[in-house]
Amino acid sequence: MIPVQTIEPPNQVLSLRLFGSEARCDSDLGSDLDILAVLDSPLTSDIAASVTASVEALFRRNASISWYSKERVVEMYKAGHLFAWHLHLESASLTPGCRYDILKILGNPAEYTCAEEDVNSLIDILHSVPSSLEKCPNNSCYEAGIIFVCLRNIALSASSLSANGLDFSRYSPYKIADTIGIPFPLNKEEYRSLIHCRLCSQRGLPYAGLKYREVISLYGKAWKWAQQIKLFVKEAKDGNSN
Amino acid sequence: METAIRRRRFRQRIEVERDVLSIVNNSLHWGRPLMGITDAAVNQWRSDLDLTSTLAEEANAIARTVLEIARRLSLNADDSRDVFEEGQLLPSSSVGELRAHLETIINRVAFKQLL
Repeated sequence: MIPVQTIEPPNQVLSLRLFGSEARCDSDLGSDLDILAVLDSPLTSDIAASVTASVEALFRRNASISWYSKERVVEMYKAGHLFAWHLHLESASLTPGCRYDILKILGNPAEYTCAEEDVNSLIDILHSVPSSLEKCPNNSCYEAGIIFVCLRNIALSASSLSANGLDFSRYSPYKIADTIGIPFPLNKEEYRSLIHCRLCSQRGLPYAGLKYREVISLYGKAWKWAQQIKLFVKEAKDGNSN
Repeated sequence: METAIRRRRFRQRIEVERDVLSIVNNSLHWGRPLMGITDAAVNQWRSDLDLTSTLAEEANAIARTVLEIARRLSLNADDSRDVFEEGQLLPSSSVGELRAHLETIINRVAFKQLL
């Protein structure tokens, strides 16, 4: 939720924005407070301390601040980078109306054109899950988290070719199902268990005792869906190029 | 080009995480597998373990070594945007010594548990 009060950051900060699930208003207990700070000079400890203190005072919680140079942000916008699109579509300024914001000046990012490559790359990673599990069955929670990352981001990339456009949400596989006509085969409880595993492996949530066989079973469903998405993306790209 | 770099970074991150987790989880059976190598995951794992004082010291050493590997490769924090981010990790060979140290501790623990 965007606070009414805003921040006056140091002059070197060219943009200060809330992004991620908080900006999308679909955050939950496992969500970080994601903040983007774009700088026109190298990050110093003074700038870091000042911005961090202001943001954390405003939201009254710890923030995860991503520091980007102006040059890098411009590159991402020119490349049609998915993160640039996320910032463009979903981020919220913490300095509205009171100062220069480079993201407003940059306008629309270039078209995102890497959906097919990104989907194929994520499918490769998904494909590596069973053999990795075979080598270390005790990594079942970690591998379940990888399945989630692959599913979410395959759906995100594929959503760029759907009628509704990019969907960055955690539940993107469900959100794109109707628009592209490919049902997502995991029920919400199964999907949430994958999310929980990811949060265990990244944010230290309490132990999720998902077993080897359960992960393999979820993988089987995920794999079939991913193949359907791969075909959809290929056909959509081929259709666009004809 | 950028996409290729991005994919490589994400893939590389997963390879490092799998390698470290497998070293720990294939050898230790303490009821709680290590689920990740971020600060938060390692600290949660360590606090969940209920061990004798001798093994607790070894667990501390394992936790410290894993955290140092993650820190050196900048993998110690959650980064949900890692799939999108540019650049490459440092080569995993840069933590070869730490990885060997981790294996040494694990072997020592395995030996102690046999006694």
